[in-house]
Amino acid sequence: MAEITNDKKEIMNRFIMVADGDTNDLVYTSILLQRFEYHVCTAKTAAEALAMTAIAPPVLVVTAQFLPDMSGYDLFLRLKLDPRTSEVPVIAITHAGDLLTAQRFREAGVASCLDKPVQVEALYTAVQAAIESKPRKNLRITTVLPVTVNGVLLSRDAGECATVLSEHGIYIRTLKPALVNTRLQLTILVKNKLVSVEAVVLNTYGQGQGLFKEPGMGLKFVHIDPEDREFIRQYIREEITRGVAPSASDRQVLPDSK
Amino acid sequence: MDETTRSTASVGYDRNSRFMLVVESDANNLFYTSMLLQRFDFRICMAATAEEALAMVPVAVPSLVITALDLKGMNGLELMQKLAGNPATASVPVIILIKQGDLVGDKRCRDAGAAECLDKPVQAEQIFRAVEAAVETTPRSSIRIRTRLPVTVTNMPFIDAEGASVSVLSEHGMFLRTQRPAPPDTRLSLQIGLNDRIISIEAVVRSSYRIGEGPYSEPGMGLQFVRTSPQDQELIRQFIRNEVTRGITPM
Repeated sequence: MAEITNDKKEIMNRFIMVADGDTNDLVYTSILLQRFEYHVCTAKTAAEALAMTAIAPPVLVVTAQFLPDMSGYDLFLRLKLDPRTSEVPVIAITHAGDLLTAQRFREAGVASCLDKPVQVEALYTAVQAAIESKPRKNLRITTVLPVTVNGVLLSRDAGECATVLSEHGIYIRTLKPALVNTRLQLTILVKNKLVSVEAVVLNTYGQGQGLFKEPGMGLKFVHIDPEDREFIRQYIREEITRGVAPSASDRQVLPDSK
Repeated sequence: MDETTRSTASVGYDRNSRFMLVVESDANNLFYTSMLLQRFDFRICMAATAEEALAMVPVAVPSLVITALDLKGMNGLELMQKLAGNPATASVPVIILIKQGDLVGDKRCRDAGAAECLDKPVQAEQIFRAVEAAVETTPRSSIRIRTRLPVTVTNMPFIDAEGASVSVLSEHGMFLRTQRPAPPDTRLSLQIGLNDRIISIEAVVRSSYRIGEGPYSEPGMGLQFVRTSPQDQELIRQFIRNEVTRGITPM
């Protein structure tokens, strides 16, 4: 019996450190990251963040500029000076309009600098770029959506449906994937709306191929109405942000920029 | 549906819209408990003090609060009473972690209505069971991990002809991924490779899935262990504990 390696193990053992002095935004950002399927550790102060990173180094730090005990920039410098965390990439979140702080962060070498309130897509892209060897550009969600292929409704009784959706593509779970490069006409039922797209098969998986990979095919949309693309983008954003929202007020911008 | 085969798809969706609030002033314990819960597939928020926790509640109401009794500032018991006094959080269950031997604290928390009181350092199995009991309608009693272990079915060798493996493991059962699942009630003799050991188990098929039917979007069968030696049982328990606590330790 050969030992089979487990690629999910590594994912389980890594986590992202989130620091934000604004409680609402701390909750918002850390819930989003968990819905992107990352594990997180959160801190409301720089002191908590440093205590936590001393226990185990995170794969990434996402810090707001506003923290009650020191600035996010100072936290960033502290992390860079500590040999245990000097290699850990940092994403900074600054208030929109605080260009000076954003510039300081960029010059000091942050992985990226995002505006508050953080946009879901921007956060996803920045995190992927900072820590993934094959970063994805587009947010994807796991889902269960009915789909027709060339006019034929796939059998949900046999478990056939769209299981992953992004604004640029889809994964369809099926035992009978089409050949790679086949062009297919799809109709997907997204939130009571039928979205029709033309898509091309990029890859296929049979039973038992690939760890944790379900049989089916990955498709890229090659023709989609811009309105439908926007509709899918909205749907994904709603799913990811369900029940959470960033801080409405920008109240920290004044004390911060002094 | 039995414990080993409850749908992960629906649980995943449900879990995505809920989260638990972990409150602990000791950074190491806060880290430990929070990482454990995430490895159990729960979403979390963390707070170092009761005051921070109370500031989080208006943002989003947690489905459960897990707090240490001893905190900097307001203690865990007072936090629970504050939550109970707020209509928005009055029904949120609270689990309190108490220094071992603090029997007075334990009794006071129980009398005040804690869902559960656990001794620190808290064991992975205990916290799993307490959390499941507090928030799930059909709570599981043992931790399950996603894994990939080699397996041989000695009395039905054809089953592992095409790369069968153990994809979910708990102390009491497992999901065996195979394209040729045996029907329910079949008794199987298994050999599982666990680290560098091979353990032998007698199991009975509880549920059998063709492709697309099952809870794990993979074909196979849910098995309940009916006979293992105490040594092998302990090896499995230890293996699961090591997997969920890898790289993290309580104080």
